[in-house]
Amino acid sequence: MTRSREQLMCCITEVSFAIDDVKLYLDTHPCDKDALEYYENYRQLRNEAISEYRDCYGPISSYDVNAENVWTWVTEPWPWEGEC
Amino acid sequence: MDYRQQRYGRYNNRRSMGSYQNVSNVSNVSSGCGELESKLQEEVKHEYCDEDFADKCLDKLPLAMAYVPFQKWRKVYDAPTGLAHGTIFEELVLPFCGYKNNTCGCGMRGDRS
Repeated sequence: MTRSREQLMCCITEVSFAIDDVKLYLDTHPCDKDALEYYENYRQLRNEAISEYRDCYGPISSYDVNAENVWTWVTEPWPWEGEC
Repeated sequence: MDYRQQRYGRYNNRRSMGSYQNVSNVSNVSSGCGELESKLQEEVKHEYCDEDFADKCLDKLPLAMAYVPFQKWRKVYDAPTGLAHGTIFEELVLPFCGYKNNTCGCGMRGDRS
């Protein structure tokens, strides 16, 4: 089942925050296996969510644009426009 | 007075509360809603007294070294709960409730037990 634009953006925001927070912990606990596992789990979830978002609704950042026929960065609402 | 107290300590609070009281006095005269204003002032005064009392008690205690315990990986939230709380660590959810400890019925603020 495909997730909606809102669901995906919500998921990306949540997992990105979790990653940012566990990164701070790992800075002072670089060998903590549980924290590394947590980080790796959410990193994978984030990559999947970003790929899914890009494939279904367009690029989240201009680095993700697959420039073949159209510059898709300007054809969809930008992530910060409140559409998602 | 130590400069850190001036900038960050309770002395700073006191000064700002003082200006709040002055504002109350001004509106007291101009608006005529004296009763509410004086109630507010009573509350402020009450807090002052408590603070002075706490100050006197603390004066008798010995000085101490500050410390920061090394954090452990425990009581970790999942991502949605973490974002909602502003941290993935349950131990760091410490809502600021004025000057009082936020006990939430579970011991001291930031209790690590």
